[in-house]
Amino acid sequence: MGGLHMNPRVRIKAIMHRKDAMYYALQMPWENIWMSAPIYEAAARRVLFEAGVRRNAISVTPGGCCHWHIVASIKKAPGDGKNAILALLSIADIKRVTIVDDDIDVFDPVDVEWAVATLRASRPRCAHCS
Amino acid sequence: MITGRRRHCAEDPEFGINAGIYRLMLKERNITGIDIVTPNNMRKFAERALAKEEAFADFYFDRAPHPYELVASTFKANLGVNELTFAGGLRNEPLRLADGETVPIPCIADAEIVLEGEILPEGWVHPEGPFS
Repeated sequence: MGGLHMNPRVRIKAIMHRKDAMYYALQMPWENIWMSAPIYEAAARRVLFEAGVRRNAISVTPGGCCHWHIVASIKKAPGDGKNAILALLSIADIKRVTIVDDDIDVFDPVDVEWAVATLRASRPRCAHCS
Repeated sequence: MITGRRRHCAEDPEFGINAGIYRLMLKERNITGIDIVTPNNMRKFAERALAKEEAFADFYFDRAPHPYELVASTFKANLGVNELTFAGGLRNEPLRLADGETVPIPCIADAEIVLEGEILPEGWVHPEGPFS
C-alpha cells in the first residue's frame, strides 16, 4: 500500500522443492483477496457479539478488497447502530463500516446503497461512518 | 516479487510460531526485501530479534497444498497463537509438518516449494516499493 517503504532484508539460506514443483503466481489484485473475507467476517462476528449487538449478516465487500470495508445488517435495538460501527472500526485495518437494518441484503451493493441513500436509520445520525 | 499463496512462519523464543503472508522483493542473488511495515506479529518478532542483534530465523513455503493454510495464515491471531493450528481445525485433521534444513522451524510437509532464510539484523533501512 502507498509509497516507498523502508524495510529489512532477508537472506535466503535454502530452497527445497518437489520434483517438477509448481509455482503458482497470483493474478493480482483480485485473486488474493477472496480468502481475506472470511477472516474479517469472523472478526466482525466476534466484536459484534462482544458489543452485544444482534447481527443478521456480515459482508466484507469485494469492492473493499475483502479487507477494508464491512457492511453488517443488525436486528437493532436503540443505540446498536452506533455500537456496531464503533465495534467494527476497532478491527485492525477496517476503514469503512456500514450498518443497515436486517431487511437489507448486505451482499447486494444496490440494496445497501439504497438504504444509505434513503437514510432509513435517521437523517441527522447517518447510518454510514467513515 | 514473491508473494501470495505463500505462508511465512517465524519463531520467537517467547511467543512461539507466527504464520502470516508478506511480500518479498528479489534484490540480488539470495537477498530479498520483506514488507513488514504495518503492525503485525512478524514485525514484532523481527524488532525483538533486532534489539538483541540476532539474525532472525524465518522461513517460507510456497504453494502449500490447500487454501486452508492460506486462510489460516491470513487470520490475525493473538500474539502467542500459531495461526497454522487453524489450518488443522479447518481440515479437521492435524497439519503434516516436516523439519527445516537450516532453520529450527518446521515447514508444511506437502508444500511444493520451501524457502528458508533469515531477516538480517539491519533494521528498517532499505527502501522498497512503492507497492500498488
